[in-house]
Amino acid sequence: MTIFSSTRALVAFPIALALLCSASVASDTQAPSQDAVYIDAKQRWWKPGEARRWHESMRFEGRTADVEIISPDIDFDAATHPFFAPLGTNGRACVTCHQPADGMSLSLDSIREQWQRTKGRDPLFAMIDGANCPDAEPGKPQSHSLLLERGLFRMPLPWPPKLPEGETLEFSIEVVRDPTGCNTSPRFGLKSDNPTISVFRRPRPVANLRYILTVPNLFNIKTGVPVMRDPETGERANMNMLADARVLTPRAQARDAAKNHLQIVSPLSEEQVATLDRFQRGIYMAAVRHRTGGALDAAGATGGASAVVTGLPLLGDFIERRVFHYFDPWKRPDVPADTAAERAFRESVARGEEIFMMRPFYIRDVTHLNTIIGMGNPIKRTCATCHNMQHVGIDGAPGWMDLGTNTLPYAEKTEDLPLFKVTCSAEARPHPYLGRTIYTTDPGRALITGKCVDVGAINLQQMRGLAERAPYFANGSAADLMEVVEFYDRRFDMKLTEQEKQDLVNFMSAL
Amino acid sequence: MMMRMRLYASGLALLGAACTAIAATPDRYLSFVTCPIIRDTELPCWLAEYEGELYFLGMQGDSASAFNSPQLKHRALIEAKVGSGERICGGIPLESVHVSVMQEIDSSCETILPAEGFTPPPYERGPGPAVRPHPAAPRKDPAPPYTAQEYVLEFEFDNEFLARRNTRKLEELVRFVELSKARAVRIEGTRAISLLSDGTRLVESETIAKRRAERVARILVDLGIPTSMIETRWSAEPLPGNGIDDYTRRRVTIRVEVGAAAP
Ligand code: HEC
Ligand code: HEC
Repeated sequence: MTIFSSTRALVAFPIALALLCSASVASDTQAPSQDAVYIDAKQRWWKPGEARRWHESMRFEGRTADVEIISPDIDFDAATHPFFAPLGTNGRACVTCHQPADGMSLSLDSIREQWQRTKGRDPLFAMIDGANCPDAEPGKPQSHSLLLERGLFRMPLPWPPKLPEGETLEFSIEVVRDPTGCNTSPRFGLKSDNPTISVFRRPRPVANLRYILTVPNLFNIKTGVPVMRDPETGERANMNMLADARVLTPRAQARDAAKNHLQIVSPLSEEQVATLDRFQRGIYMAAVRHRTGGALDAAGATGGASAVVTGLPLLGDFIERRVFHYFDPWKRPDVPADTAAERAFRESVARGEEIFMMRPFYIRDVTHLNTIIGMGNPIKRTCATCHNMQHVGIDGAPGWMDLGTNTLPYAEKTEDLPLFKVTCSAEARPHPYLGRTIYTTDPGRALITGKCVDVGAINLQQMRGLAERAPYFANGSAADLMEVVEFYDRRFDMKLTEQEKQDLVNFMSAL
Repeated sequence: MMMRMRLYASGLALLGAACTAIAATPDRYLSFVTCPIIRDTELPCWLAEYEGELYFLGMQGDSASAFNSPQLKHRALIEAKVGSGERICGGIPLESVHVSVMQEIDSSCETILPAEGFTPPPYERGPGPAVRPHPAAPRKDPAPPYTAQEYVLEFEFDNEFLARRNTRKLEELVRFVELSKARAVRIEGTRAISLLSDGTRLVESETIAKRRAERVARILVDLGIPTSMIETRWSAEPLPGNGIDDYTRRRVTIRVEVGAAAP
């Protein structure tokens, strides 16, 4: 079975990318493109420090979809490269939580497989953040329940936040419920010597960062003030990284991750940081073949990572310039396909794209979307209103919003997460839809800004490689793509038919 | 300074009153605080009721719209002129509509009227994506000779948030400061009273003028204007309202001085 006729895989890397890369890397991209290297399911776990080759174009056999990775940065030894080598004391590498086969994130399936395979001894489960709390009993599944059941890592964030000069903290916070014990822990909790709030979040894909890092506007339309500058370079940052934009660049994130996730003893060298920066920016990722739907770049479609490599980070919320336009050729009758199931899937994907772009519903009570001047609450719009950047579906604006995934009354499946009560001071502007008393499992951006209006606001994730990186939302509350769609159906009273739901699911699994 | 401004403002109000007196059909202005209402037409219409009458405020828009759609869950201050055209979406059309969203939540503001056969007026952007990207309007740098410039930013009632039209002006201002090698940037914030149609005087909070001025100053510093060039002040007293153009007095005025200082 020759699945991959990927001679077209390596279109010349665009100038934007070449500029981001050092001269030596740029010249690598001029090497004659090779066929994609196929990596089967048996090799899907990438172990830190493994002597393994990273190729210019790779396809990882998936459970639902094969993930394609295109990356110009190949001339290295993975055993020592800082993304792949266990640099710290706990045996982890960046790749531990950013697995290529999992769309450069980490799926719950992979987490469970690793638990089984290693009886919980994989460095992935390091107590620092791979457990419900560092003081939990090691080796017990209950101690790692949030990781094993929802794919969540612990993010310890300092309380109170360190605010820029002139800003005041607008709220106080109490722990209402603490199933992990970490927020009330005398050593790690809110009342410890280093007062800390632990929130639990999913890893985000380290890929397609040229899009994630684009700065479309000088002013942040959601705050009415300019986007922040990267303190290192003075350049404006787009503030779309991480759930809460607390770190602004891949360089800063590399340092932060090495310290907090890898537990390194001495900081990364400047050379390591530069290598990580270049490597992360060079990775392009997308689903390329679906189990039922076959090749996602067949019959005229242009799914897969190549289109992301050559694309531009433009606003795609236009009828004539869509966010994900790859499947237009599948909208015609009698789409070519090898089997009836394949054809039905392709037609469904095409319908799903149409729903994503065009099916209106009332978006309601979402801070930083409905509150944008001119938009109004509610606003009758579509998925693409928020997921609006071409090729990745983030919000270029930047994207933090209180969709309701982690604030009551809309948050679902909250029982095993900590619950906080946020009380906004009388002088502060209230949260526009939740007022001055808010119950939340993750205050999101507000833990960084100290502002009541930001409580619950989470940056949109990109939408590529979704099929291989369940569960979804920053708190893993949607176990699969159908649960994502059903969340929206309830949250915005969309009244989707079962067919429409499945079409949306199929469409997203083809990204 | 503020003293002078206030006199000037009330002068304007008198003038305004004089004009209405001689006009053939006097303009009617409305100013009221109410729960906004949305009508579920294909593209939703925004409405508001005042003294038993339904008024049409505007259509659902986007971040580039001149009309600032209100928010359910919040009351809104509506300041507008009563229009003369046909009813739209069941409401008497208002013109020059200024919407200020009240900060506190009012959960009684939740009315969504059915379409009831109403059709919205023709629109460019429906309830979904825009049709096509508009090419960004080319920015023209101001040409010399450079003379002092004044930039006026208007705000929603009791709010210091800068809408996009205001942040655009700040970008222009910064460019002008660079090109003209400006000498000083004088920022002045005001707060105001809205005179409602029922005679109520709605007064902005005491600190809002200061917050407006300081926010603008901070942004200008962030955009590279040296702190030493910036002078910031604000009015402690609210500027009086006339129920006609009260929205113009909730503002920040920025004067950019160029050339050598006066001896
Ligand atoms: C223990 C798991 C783990 C390890 C190891 C890890 N990360 Fe992450 N990474 C995460 C999680 C969780 C997030 C999301 C955190 C959040 O949203 O607050 C994340 C987010 C990121 C992001 C942001 C992506 C985006 O678009 O928002 C980048 C970049 C990143 N990591 C880079 C790295 C690098 C570089 C390393 C190695 C130095 C690394 N990570 C190691 C778990 C991990
Ligand atoms: C009001 C803005 C908004 C609208 C409309 C919207 N989304 Fe989202 N979406 C978000 C935000 C914010 C997040 C991140 C929330 C979180 O992680 O807690 C998100 C996350 C997602 C994710 C999770 C990605 C991941 O990696 O976990 C998917 C999938 C998704 N949205 C699909 C959709 C679909 C399909 C629609 C239309 C039915 C839609 N969205 C409409 C704002 C929106």
